[in-house]
Amino acid sequence: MSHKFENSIFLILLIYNVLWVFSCISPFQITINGIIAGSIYALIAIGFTVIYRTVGFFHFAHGIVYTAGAYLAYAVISGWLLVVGSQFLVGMWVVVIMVGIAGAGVLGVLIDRAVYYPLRKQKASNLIFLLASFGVFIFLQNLIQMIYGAQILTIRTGPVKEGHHFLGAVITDIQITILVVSIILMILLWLFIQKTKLGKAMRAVADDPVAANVVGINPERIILTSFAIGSALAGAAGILISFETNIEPTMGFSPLLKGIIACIIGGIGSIPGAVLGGFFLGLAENFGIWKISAGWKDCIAFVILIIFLLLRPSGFLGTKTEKELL
Amino acid sequence: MSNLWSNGMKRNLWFGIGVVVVVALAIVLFVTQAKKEPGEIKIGVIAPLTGDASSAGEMAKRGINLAVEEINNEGEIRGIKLVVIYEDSKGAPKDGVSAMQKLISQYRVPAVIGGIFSSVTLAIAPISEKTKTVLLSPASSNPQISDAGDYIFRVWPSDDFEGEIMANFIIKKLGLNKVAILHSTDDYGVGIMKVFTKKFGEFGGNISIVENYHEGANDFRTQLTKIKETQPPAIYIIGHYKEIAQILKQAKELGINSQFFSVSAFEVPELLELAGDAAEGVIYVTPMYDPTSEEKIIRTFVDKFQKKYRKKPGIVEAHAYDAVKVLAYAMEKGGISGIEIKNALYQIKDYPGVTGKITFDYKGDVIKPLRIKTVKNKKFIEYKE
Repeated sequence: MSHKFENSIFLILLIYNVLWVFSCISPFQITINGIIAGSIYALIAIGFTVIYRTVGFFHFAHGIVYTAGAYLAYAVISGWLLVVGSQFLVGMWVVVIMVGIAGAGVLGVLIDRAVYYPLRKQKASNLIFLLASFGVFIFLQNLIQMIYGAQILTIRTGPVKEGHHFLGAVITDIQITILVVSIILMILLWLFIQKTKLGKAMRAVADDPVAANVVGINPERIILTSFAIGSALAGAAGILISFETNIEPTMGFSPLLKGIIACIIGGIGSIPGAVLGGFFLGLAENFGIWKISAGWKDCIAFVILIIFLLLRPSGFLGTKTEKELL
Repeated sequence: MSNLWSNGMKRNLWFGIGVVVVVALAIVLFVTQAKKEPGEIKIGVIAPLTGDASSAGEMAKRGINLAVEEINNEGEIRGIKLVVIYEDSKGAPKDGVSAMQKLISQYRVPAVIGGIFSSVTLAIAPISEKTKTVLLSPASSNPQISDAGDYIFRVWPSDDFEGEIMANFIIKKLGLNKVAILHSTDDYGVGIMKVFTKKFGEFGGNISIVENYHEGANDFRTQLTKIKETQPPAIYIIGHYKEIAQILKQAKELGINSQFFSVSAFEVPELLELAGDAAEGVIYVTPMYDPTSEEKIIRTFVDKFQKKYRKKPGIVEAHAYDAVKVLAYAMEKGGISGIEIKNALYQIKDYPGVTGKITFDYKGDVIKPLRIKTVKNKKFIEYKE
């Protein structure tokens, strides 16, 4: 165990040193771009991990919760502009983030209650759960498309300003918001998992569901909590990205894949691993396309995934072997 | 034993009867459907109706539906009702091919409007050629489509014209001889990029960097950072409006002050909403379509469109509308079989469409003038020095 732990630390240091070398020889802007992209990947990956740890299957509908978060933000902002009328106050952004995160959490719980709970009652296999989660993804994506149409929407309507100059790079207010909010959410999650009773119970269920049940932890309650928290994080990522880019019903799939890759790189089931994996992926993609053509961006992510699956399937921090993964 | 055998026999018999009944039903259905056919002329439409690109499909659909409604209200084609059958390409060549096969084998359409994207049109062109089905694309611009076959037409000008005009304009009119290119990796983006690069080089210009992106991407900062490092006075963005809007915003945030140029797909009213003031001053080439024109034919089109959809018709809508109208015109003049439509299309001269006078050359390419436009005060206007 400790041998493996040392190995992981060594690997992380090695890889992040390589990234550091890259950041020294490329413009600082690329590092910034990578960190911002990475923080979104990390948020999705953490949410995915929180759910995966308690239920043990790949919850693909996580990607549509991300999309729903963005559309919720859109709905709240259009509502705000109708009711309050005034343009973009700080208070509005806070309300948007709060409502969006809460709404995404509720959506996650609803998905679990409506689809996964009946399947759990029937003791369905993990494959069934996987297919069901794809079904939920497609269903909700089409639902969003029915309500809002396929066209692209945008929340940003104000004038476009040049960002702040910072060590030769340019960073915008929105990007700072993305970074700060995602770091706050990561810290809150860490505190929750480490300090609260519910968080400890979640860890217990992740470690050994049978033993947790024996000592009186209600697994259903833990599953609901995981879905609420995990989905809230995905929703937060969706809201943050909606401040920055356009939103459309199909926006969720690619970030979902990146989030899952980040999970696997970081070690599936490990929350710190998801954070490391997310930032690593964001940086690697952006450093990669600094030297080669940007059309290869997605390819870089998948090549990294394949390298990890071949050489180190347990990722940075994972303790499970590849057999247990499947 | 004998019991088993007779059971098996019985089952076989029932199975046989079942097959006969199903076949008979199918024949009856087929015959009755075939009999219905003279009551209406069917044409197919292949467009992205779901998926990433469905917004382009919806635009085309609005134009097509308006045109069909008009044709059927104004005496139909040879007194026969025109019916449009939509098939979804999802913007992907393989789905386009299955949509085409379905239209031909199931509905036996003599002509198909589509695809919207060049890659889809190129993929379905061989089928249309083999089955002698006319393919009329409202919005594909890749130069390869010119040589795709006898039955392939389009009402959107080829990129060959667009790339050349832009290269000529940038270097000879504006005197800028260094350009960076950011293009999408689909057939549309690569097509224009190649023509432009070749022509710009021939005119003595220098391309500082060529960068690209996949459609659907929304983070272009690293590409823009690379472009910024080469300090080009001009940046040519080739792609579709949603990515262009995002690129313009991020470029402005990164403090890039070069002159931006773009392509005919730029003129979509939604782009101005998405990009806001970042779209100001972008110069682009576009076919002759001006929704604010005072010409009678355009006025009636815009009014009808706005009445039906409460929206201004964009350039895709207008081309889709023209595609149906010109096809109906050819059917009226020539006939309703694939060969007759094809021959009639080649004979069309100066058909008055809302996107300009339509004439097809011997490759099925439309010959239309192009012009240079720009964005000023959130409006698409004619470029003036």
